[in-house]
Amino acid sequence: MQDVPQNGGYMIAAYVVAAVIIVGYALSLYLRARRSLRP
Amino acid sequence: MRMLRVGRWITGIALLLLVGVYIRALVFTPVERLQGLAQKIYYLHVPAAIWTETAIVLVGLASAFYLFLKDPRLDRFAAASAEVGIVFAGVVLTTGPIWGKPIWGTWWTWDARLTSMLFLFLLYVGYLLLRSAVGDPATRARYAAVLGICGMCLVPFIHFSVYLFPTLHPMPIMMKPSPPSMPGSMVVTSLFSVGVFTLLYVGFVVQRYALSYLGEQLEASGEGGSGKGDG
Amino acid sequence: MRSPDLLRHAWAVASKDLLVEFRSRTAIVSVAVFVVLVFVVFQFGHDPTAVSNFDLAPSILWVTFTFAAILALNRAFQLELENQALEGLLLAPIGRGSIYLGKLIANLAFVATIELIGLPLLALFFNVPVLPCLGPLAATIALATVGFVAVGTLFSAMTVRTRFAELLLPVLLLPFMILPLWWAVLATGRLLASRPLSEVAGWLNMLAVYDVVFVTIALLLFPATVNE
Repeated sequence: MQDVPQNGGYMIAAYVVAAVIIVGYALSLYLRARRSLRP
Repeated sequence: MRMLRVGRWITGIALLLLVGVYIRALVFTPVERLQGLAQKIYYLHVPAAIWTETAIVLVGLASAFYLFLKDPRLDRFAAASAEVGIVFAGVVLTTGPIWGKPIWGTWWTWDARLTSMLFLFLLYVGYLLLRSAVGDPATRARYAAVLGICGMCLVPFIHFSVYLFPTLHPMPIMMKPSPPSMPGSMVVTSLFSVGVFTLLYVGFVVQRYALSYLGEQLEASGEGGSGKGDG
Repeated sequence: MRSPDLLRHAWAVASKDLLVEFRSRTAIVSVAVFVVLVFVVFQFGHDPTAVSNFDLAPSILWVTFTFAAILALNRAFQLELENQALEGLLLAPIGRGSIYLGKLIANLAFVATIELIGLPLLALFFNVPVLPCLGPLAATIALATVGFVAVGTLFSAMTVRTRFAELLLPVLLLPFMILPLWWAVLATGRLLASRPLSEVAGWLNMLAVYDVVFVTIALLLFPATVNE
């Protein structure tokens, strides 16, 4: 049986990038709302 | 503001559950033999793709109803769904090539599925740019609705192209009429992830909707909105 | 609105635009020059032993045609921007549908002129057999052109009054243009390579459906772009 390809690095990269985008957007929404509520 | 709080709660819960998805996908789901660990990108890529497409259809539907009913709530929803849609499109278009490189040997290929995601991204960009280019809220809503409907009508054509041009992209595993050809554990992870992304979409849209509403209130009271004050 | 009126009024709108364009002739000439320039540059630039004319010709053809289309579309409603002519047009006793159709016809006439110039030039410069497949080729070109000009005419009504109008129109149009363009380039390539009609029938059908769907949608949505 052939070896499973060793491409874990890509998996980590993708999971990190996705997390950054999602959390980043959540943060952006939070901050924009705070700015709107402040005055 | 209550809607904002509800949105934040939903998003918070969704983010926590997302951590759960991460753990389940990375640790508790079996490794696919042919593709290796990189295959696990599927559990993020596919739910994001599903919602990228659903979001644009929702933009289109809201736009169509807006032109008939002229209810500004529909316009606010469309704007919210478009912004969230482009965020998910960003997830798809980044995880896609990262998945593609180890599996197909190339970062990008003009295969029909990746290309269709790019189309959706372009539709979102156009929609959001149009909204930011029109100052008057009523005109903005009307124009955006026209574009939203056209975008929604483009989606079936984009889909047909997928089936006319068989390519590198993995053929549908889950959405086939016959039972899914993935082992049960993987199916569970996929469904879990789809559920979490659904919750994320809802939470984000509710917050973004609330943001539009806040922006309009601020403009109405003459204090100017945050940034572009886009509805 | 009765059909004969719709078409009659549309033709009135179209002939007004075409008359203005014909009198000034600036746009047609500049696009024609661009077409010749692109053909010549690509001829000089490529090594015929490395890249065959058949690989190059379809893409070059469609690049020039789409440029012509975008130029036509950018100008489509610009005529009406001056002296509030658009309001005048809207006050005229003709339906909104006629205005859209009239603009569409005028734009199509402009692009068709470029295509009529470009296709023979392509055959000449690139030595590709256009005559044997002229029927299907003409059909492909016509169908694809109607597709993106129809959507473009609708969008130009909106973008003309925004900032960065000329920048916004191509950006909005991009996804709607790429799809028919993609099918058209593939079909053109096959036809020029003397493949049988049956091979391109699928793409021609898609183009036809695309046209029907989007012309209809544009007709229905156009009033929303001009009503106050």
